[in-house]
Amino acid sequence: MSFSRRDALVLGVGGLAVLPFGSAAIAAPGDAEIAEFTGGAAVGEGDLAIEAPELAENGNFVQIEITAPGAEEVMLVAPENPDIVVFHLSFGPKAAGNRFKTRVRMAKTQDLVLTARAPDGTFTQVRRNVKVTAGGC
Amino acid sequence: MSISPRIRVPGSAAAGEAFTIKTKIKHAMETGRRKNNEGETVPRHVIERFTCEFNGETVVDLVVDGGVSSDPFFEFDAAIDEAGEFVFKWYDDTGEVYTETKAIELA
Repeated sequence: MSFSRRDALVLGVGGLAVLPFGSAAIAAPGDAEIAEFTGGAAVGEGDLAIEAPELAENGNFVQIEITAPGAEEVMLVAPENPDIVVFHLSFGPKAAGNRFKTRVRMAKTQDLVLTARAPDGTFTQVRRNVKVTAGGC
Repeated sequence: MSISPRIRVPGSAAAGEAFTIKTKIKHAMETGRRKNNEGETVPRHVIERFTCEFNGETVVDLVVDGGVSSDPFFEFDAAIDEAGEFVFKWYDDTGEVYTETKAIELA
């Protein structure tokens, strides 16, 4: 069976149209992982924060501090990393202030994206661009 | 394997007042993508989960999916309303679980 170029073009456009994001746009890296966390629910802005250096010289050790007031669970993704999801973090009854500081690996310059779920099931998100001189993945 | 845990928890805290906990362990946190000097891929070996509980209740529960740096250090805040014990657990992907405890009193 041979495909004409016109057939292939029609198939390609048709393929794009059935992406599960309700639009014909190509999904960006990290979108699928975030959609899995939110179940496709709307994501708003809240008072989340990611503190990170503007420029990280060594991508093996990028110090970040996240704050997610009132959140039950958060997920950090680094869409340009080979492993896109960095971690899931739950805050329990004995946590105070929902702050977490650690060091992560970043393969290259990108936006870190933090998505949070509140106890009422709503989601918020914040992005923070970090430039990376030498990748660390 | 020895992870040489270093944990900082105050000896006492006022009820309801937030304080900071710091933890650090030795662990290569190999992603399974790094090549050694001989050009061989170093196999994946990571702490996949970290939990901190106080008197049986969760403070934090971290699931490591991807790139957390080697010798992982975690800093977070807690508040207590009674004396008791923090229990810290690091779950190695070998199946081993490393546990440390720290007692705390009410100020």
